[in-house]
Amino acid sequence: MKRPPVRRLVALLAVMTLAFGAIFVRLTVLQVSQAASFRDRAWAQRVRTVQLPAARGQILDRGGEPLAISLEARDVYADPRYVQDPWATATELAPLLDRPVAELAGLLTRGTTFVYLARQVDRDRAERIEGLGLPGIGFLETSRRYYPAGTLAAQVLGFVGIDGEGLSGLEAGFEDLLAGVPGERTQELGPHGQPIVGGVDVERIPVAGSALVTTIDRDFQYQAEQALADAVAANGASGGTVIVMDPNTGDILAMASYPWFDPNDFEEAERGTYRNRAVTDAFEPGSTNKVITATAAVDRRAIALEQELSVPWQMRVGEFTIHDAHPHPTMPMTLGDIIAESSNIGTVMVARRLGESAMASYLSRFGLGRPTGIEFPGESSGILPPLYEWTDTSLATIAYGQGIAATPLQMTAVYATIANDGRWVQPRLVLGTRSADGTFEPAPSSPTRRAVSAETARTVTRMLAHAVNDGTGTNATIPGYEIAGKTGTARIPFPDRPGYYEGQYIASFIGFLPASDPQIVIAAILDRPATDYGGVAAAPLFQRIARYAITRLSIEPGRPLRPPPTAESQP
Amino acid sequence: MSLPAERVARPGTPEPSRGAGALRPPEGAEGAKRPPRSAAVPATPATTARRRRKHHVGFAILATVIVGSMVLAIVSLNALLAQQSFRIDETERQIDALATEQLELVHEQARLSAPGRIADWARRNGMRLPDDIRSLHTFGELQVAPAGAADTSAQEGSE
Repeated sequence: MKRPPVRRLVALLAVMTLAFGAIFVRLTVLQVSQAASFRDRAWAQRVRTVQLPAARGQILDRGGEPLAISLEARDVYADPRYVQDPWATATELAPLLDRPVAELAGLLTRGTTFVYLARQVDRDRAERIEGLGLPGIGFLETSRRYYPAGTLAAQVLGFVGIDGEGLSGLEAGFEDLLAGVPGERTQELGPHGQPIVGGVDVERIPVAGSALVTTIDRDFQYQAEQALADAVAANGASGGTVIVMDPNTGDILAMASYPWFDPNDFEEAERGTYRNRAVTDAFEPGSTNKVITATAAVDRRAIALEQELSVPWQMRVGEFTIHDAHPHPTMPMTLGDIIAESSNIGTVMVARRLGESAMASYLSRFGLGRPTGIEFPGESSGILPPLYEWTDTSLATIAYGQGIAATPLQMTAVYATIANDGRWVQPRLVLGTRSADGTFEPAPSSPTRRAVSAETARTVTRMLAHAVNDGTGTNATIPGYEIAGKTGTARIPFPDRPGYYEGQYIASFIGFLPASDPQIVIAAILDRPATDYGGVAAAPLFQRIARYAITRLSIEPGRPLRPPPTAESQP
Repeated sequence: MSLPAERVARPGTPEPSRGAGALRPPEGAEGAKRPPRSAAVPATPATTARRRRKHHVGFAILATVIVGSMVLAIVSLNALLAQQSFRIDETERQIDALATEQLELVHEQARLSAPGRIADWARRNGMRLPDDIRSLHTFGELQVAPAGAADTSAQEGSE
């Protein structure tokens, strides 16, 4: 019998030992030292987490009518690796995506694994594209913001970017509330993207955003905008602003700035139109600011109502000469006359009796120089120089509304304070929120503070009513109703250097009605009207909006007020 | 001195046999004579085998029935679960469709009720806002009950 070849067996044993040893070593490396790394790579390969977008909350008017809603939409993307015939695919997609064939073909031949072909495509079109069954074309669920009333309250509402994030207006200011909380779904997928049965499948359900219920009255807003657009056209103005406010609650019923834009196509609009100028832009209020001077004088008893001042038509203040709007002989005027005729010189004489400190104090009491606190992004504080920066002309010019700046909203709040018996009320744009289950959560009432006594406010109201009945504001009158208000014709300062534009004005009228029991405050402001004066350009705009307010809000006429003492009525 | 253990054959016990040989009687033994059929005789290895075969068949049938029933039950349960799953899927699809429809209706309602659209329609049809506001004043002490207020005069009269 032949003996086995021992050497060969030993050699074979050695080879096998080495081979198994190598395998053992490699296994140890793979399963011990590199195990965590490979486990992570495997997990990343087969586990996909997809974000589930949360439905964005609606923006509603005070009656629950939708001002902004979100519609279902889809993003269309391509994975060029799987597109079989880019040119044919582009030809089929071009009419549905409204993009040139060559542009789409360029995207479909890119050396990448993901490229957007179109964003926020509406559901119908997306389904038609899906029906084509084109390889390499995919869809992502998303939503599209839609503003059903187009340009209505555009600057107040703002708009939403392509990624669904609020970029302007209330959309940006209440982003956290409206956006909700997105969910996500984590799934373990096979090589072809199919879910692995029994694998990881975890879903975090998205939480829809709450609806924002604004104080805006949609129909009122529309009428105010129509009136503003017509007034801008009729007076050859470059723009304008309207604010309608409830003086008792601070609710803003309408807020419009012309020119406006369509938030559905905000990218096409001029960027300057995005601003809600009623809140973000300050202007020199001009004669509408005289109401603060008059209120301070009455409250401090700096001048008796019956007292007559001898008012010339011009006056030297420091290095400058100031004058009234029209030349007139030196004439006796009471405080009521000064407000009714909007005399700059008379106002300066009253302010000098008050003094700088008192004047600054009352400007502050009425909220000038600081934001009103309305919940709107980018609110301006206006410009109110601190007392130590006042020059020898500051008291005089500030008394009649030049040399300071306020937003239209700040000035509306000033008149609302007079209308509200001397209590300043913080304006507000939000009435409350409505959660996804329909529960309404009202916003807290607007903070208020006493600015002047009720008696002072009522006295000033009589002066303002006199200014409309027999002064510069006669174009604002409505038969049967007594309106209290004040005109303003303010010069426009250069933006980059001292001085004012020649022959360019901001015409304004701010007032409330009925004077005896104010229900509504309206500010009507026109930029650079060809008709110049507040009483000519802005008062009719106020009147048109006030007429609508009477019918819309069923405002009763009220009782006529006793006019303030005037020079003519004095014995 | 010890010896390795050996199996000791018991006297009178047959040597254990294996396979078919085990059923065969030993040659030359008395037991090889066939007993009369009618007589109650102890079971032979052949009858034992037949009985065993019958038992096997019975067991197989029983097992088949039991397993079959279990399989049927499992399949039925699965079918039931699948049916419920399909119903849930169908209901979810219906919910999605209704949610989409509701959103489309909200969209349509919002579009149709937009003030600009209504104002345009009204203008095309010759409607306009009133030019002036007229207030009607009543005189005297006449108190008018608001609309919808119950008329309690009859009740007062009857009491």
